[in-house]
Amino acid sequence: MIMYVLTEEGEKYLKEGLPEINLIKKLSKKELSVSEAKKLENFNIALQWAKKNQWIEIEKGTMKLTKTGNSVLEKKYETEEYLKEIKSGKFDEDKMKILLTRNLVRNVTEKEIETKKLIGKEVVELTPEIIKSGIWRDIKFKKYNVEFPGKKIYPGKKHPLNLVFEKIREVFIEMGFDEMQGPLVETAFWNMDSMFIPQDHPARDIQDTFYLSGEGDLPDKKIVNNVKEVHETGGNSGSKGWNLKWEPEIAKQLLLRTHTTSVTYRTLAGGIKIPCKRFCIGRVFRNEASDATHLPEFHHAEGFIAAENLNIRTLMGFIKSFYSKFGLDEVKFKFNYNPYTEPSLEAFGYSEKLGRWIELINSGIFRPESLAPYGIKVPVIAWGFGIERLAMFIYGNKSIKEILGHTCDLKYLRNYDLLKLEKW
Amino acid sequence: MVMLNTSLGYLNSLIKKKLSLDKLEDLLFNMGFELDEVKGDEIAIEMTAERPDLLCAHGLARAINHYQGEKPREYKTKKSGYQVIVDKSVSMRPYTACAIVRNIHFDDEGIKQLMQMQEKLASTYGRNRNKSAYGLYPLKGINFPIHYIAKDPKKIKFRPLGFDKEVTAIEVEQTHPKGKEYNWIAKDWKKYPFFIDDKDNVMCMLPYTNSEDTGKIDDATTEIFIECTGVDLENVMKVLNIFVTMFVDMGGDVYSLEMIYPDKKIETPNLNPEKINLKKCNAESILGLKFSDKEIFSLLEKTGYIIKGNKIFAPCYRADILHEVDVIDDIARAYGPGNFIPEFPQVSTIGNLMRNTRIETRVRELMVGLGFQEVFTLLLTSREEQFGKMRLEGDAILLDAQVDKSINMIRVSLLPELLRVLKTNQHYEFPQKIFEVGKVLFPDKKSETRSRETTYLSSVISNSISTYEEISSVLNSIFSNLNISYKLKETEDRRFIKGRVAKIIVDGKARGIIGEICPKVLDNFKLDNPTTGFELDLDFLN
Repeated sequence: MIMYVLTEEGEKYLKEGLPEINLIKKLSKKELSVSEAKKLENFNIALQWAKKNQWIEIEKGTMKLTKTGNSVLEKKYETEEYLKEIKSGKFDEDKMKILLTRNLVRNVTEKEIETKKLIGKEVVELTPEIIKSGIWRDIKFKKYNVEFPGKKIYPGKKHPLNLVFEKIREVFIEMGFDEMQGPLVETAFWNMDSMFIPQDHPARDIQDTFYLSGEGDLPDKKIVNNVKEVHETGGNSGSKGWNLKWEPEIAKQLLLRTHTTSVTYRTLAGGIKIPCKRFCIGRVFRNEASDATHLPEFHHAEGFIAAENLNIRTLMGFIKSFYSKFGLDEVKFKFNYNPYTEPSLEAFGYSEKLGRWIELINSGIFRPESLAPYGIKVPVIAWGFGIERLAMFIYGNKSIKEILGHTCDLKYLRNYDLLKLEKW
Repeated sequence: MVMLNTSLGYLNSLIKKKLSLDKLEDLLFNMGFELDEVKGDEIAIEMTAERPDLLCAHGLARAINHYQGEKPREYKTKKSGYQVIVDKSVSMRPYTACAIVRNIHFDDEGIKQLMQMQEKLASTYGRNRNKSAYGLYPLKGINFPIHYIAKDPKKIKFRPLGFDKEVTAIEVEQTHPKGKEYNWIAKDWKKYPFFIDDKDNVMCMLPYTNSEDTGKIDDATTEIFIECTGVDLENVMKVLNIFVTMFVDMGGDVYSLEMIYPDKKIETPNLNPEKINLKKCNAESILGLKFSDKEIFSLLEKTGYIIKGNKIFAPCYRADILHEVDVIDDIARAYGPGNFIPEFPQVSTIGNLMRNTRIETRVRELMVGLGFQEVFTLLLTSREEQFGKMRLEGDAILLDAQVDKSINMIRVSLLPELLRVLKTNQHYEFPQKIFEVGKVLFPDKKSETRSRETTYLSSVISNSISTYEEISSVLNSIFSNLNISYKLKETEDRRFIKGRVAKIIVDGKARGIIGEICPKVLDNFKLDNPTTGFELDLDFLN
């Protein structure tokens, strides 16, 4: 059933009279100049309807009643009568048209009518009808226990490692590093030979590296020859070389990259403009049994700077700033050994939170033997670290399997502290 | 990583200025090594394969003494007059270098250190005996000259270490523990190299074991013969030097022998230090420091270099100096890592992310906004999961016989890995809505590395009710927010319920699949709840 109620405007006119009626009442007492009439309330509405009904005419700026206009005052004006009828609850569908166009009535649902009945009662739910009908002015809302915590719901969340990736990217970008990427399946050439790891190095063992069947392509002859020479005799690098015959077959072996340094060397060999600062975040693979802190697959972040006047002290200075971005303000260094950097440095940062030194970054100055094949004559400082290790420190995970791989714990991922990185 | 096991007491007996454990730890840290474990007086120190000369307490004590200010010494040999005759038949392992040490007095710890060094050198510097291997014998009872010669293992009999009777050499390879451990080295050999003395006594079979009769050292031994054999002359010469300098440090005297090769004669060992060319300016620029000559020389002596006048010599036991930078590294260690003042590098450049990184971030954010939890699964997986349980077929990069037996391929799809995540987490609240943006790999004969990488977005919803309508509205939202038009085209796919699976078409090409996972697949993954999902190759965004 369709029902109608007066709008706010309708209510007002019922109480104060319709604007066109009010106008002709005024005119019946005395003629008005248009400019005077304009001052009346709702003049435009009054003018529109009075004219339409041919109640008034305007002559030389003066407004006066017509005959019809005069007669209206003696009769009942039907629009006004309709308003009264609706107010009293009766209505006629045919009469509604004009009132609806004038926006003096609107149709209401049963819900609205029901809502009206709530007046003076205590209400549980606030509904759009309560708001629209205005009866919110006249009702009371039931008091809730607002101190009771809400039901737990789970938002979509990024993976905690991804937040660490984003932070690392942010740090590199603000320090002016350009991102680089490279393939996950590599040739031994880019994973090892290019950076002067000897062909009989234990790191190449099957125990450490996932080898794939088949052979990949070597890069262009000039680069391959330079690398071969530097391995065998030191080439023009000032080194003795490994004094070991360099076999292209070993370099062609396909493997899953064991570090992102393959990406660094592809970049160096591809030609760089000095000064150059690049970084990479990516997955790496080690053929090992897994345990609580190691999976055979994890992520590395690494960066390098190739520029004039770099040395051990600037490497240390860079790492110090980098660590401080991760809340490790106190840093100490230890020399260590790495096949493609010399000197090589391990960097420890002091964690206030953990109350101990933690070792994350391995770094160094690239060996001349690893740069000479690509014609790079400036020093290149480089560093890298395992991201899971950092993440486990930050999030305090007991096992890496809790966050990574099909073994991940959905409860943990749904509930982990999104601000851990900021609090760390 | 190589461990050196000794005791603080023994190490201190070899050090001039005795050290407390704390002092030792600090000193090792400055030299670049770490105290790994302490159990009572026993200590384990993490060393490096790059410094084979430090793989015994004596070598480390020598380095500590230098670091504490003792002047490095030169080592001298006397001629023994003995010979080792190298037969041309040993082409599989053509080089040997030998020495004699007299006046040696072993104690238990000394023998332990010797055994430790022999084993660690063979596994690191000798590349598990493949590049070189070493043997020690009491000098008494050896009849010179010794013959280094390859023979048919069926025709040689001797008693290997630990055996109570003679067996043929072929049986040694098959039954002796060292034979079984190292026979991979000899897989292409028809003949095997032996040391045989002039009265036909077998001293050892390479690369396996000494003879119990002629090759067993004990604390009564005061004179020893050492042989090092291998495929690289420099390697065996260096390792011999590492052995004999240790014996000299223990109080022994070294005697050289003549190696008679078919084409040359070499007197071994050669303990002469090696002249080093070092430009001071290079050291200064790499270290960011300024030095006087005197300072450089004193830093070099601290790490064992011998200074004669203004010439620098590397000690004869150093096997790791290839380049000037290796010497500069030693100067840095002598200077001490804590004495360098860090300085931020003033290199100004502008940084940028790669486009695909930014795009993937936006896609992830969209999925998170749609209420999905991000997961990271592994690329290393198995055919059982990817193909078998998932009812999928196709080419993949295979990885057979790995350390972790559950790994035998690289993933070609994220969906099975997401289903495995659901399996792990069945005891938590539903709905479970997860996604991953990650790489999958395919074989590609034409590419440089015979593989093709692409990034997939995959997502699944698991709940007591999960319908095609729900998952397709997720997909719709993704495409509309990326402002890319797409079409769904009905298809058949064994992974999904017939009539409830469609190909995702972008630019007229199939880029993915969407549907309700087939109950058979759910059963294979042992999942109880209806699950819907899609997988989309994001390549079209690049």
